[in-house]
Amino acid sequence: MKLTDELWQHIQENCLTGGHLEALDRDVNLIDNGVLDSLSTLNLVSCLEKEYGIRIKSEDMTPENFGTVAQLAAMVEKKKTGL
Amino acid sequence: MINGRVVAAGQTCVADIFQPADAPGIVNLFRVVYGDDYPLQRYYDPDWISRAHASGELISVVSRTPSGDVVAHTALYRSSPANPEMLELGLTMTLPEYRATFATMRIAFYLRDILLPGLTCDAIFGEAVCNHVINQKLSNFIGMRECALELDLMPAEPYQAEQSATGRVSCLNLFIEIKEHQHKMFVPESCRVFIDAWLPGLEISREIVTGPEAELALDSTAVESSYFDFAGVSRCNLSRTGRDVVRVLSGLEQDWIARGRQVSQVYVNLADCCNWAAVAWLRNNGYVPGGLIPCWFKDGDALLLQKLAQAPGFERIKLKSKRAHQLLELVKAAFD
Repeated sequence: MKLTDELWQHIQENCLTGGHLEALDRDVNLIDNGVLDSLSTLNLVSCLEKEYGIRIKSEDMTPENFGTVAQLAAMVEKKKTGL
Repeated sequence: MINGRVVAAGQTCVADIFQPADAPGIVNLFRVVYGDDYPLQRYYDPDWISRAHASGELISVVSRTPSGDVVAHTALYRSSPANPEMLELGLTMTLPEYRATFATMRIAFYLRDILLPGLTCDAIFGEAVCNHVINQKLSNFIGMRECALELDLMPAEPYQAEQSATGRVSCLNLFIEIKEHQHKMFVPESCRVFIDAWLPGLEISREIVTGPEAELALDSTAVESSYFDFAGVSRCNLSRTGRDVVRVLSGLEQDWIARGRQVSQVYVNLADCCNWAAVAWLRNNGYVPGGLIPCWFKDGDALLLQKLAQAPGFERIKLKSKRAHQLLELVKAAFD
């Protein structure tokens, strides 16, 4: 399974709750559409750190990294490979 | 009516340690979130807030906009523990127009990655109110673990400005050890089931001592008691049990009843080999276990025993984690 698929599935199953996810497609902007706020992002970060063995820092918390699932995947991939 | 200055929405913000210029903004947060009725009136005094930071009594982290507005806040401070090296994490507030932003998240990262690694205290604990799970999420994110459930601790009134409570509010107690400890724990038989069920998940290294009840060697019981009139709560730290323990606890109980207490909490030092006598009296007088708080005493951990004037409002308790729900079931079972 591609990393983007894993992340989308992971977000749906473990990190975020709420009916609005069902109406969203995976290309949606998670911030602009209010899917991610402070607390749901904390939950997501904890999940990503545990699942992928990475450490996410405050400076990583940018719209460029957390805007979409594809951007999230790119950030996780960079972290995993130590880039 | 909610007081407080309106802060323009939509500004960017960064988390930072307190600067003196933040004091009026912190006062504004209290006014917006709690109105004028937060029980500790000193938090409405910017001069007191600045002095408390200068003396180290308060360590605030704020989320601040480029224009200097404080839009979110949390703090470490000394409070009820008998151990002065046990700090409380609390006073977490966010302006309503910034709750759907990353303001609180930036504070959480600052705590986890910058403030906590530099601390030299023994441990941190927090009392996360259970009329919502926001503080529980933040506490879990920085690595705090659930350790006790303080039933119906807070009156509903402070939360009426936000209409977020329909009755008294319980608090989930969470902690994180900053320095590793190897305390001995003398666990009375009547609380053994509770401790055995809860200790393993706390991920702390402790030696449980069992055996015959130690002879009461001290004449006097060492106890410090406080009464919080605004909440109808008595709180007592029992660090050593002496031969007068029954007289001491009976006297305190009568005093608390006369004051109209709603909740009584007794924190018993598990490092005290004679605590069995105190626990026996408390259990016989309606006190039930509420949790285990590591490092509450300078030389030991605390067993929380609590007693309520009314039936606990279990149905009002909102919890986030699986461990928190497990604790609730354990505390419920102790009440049955």
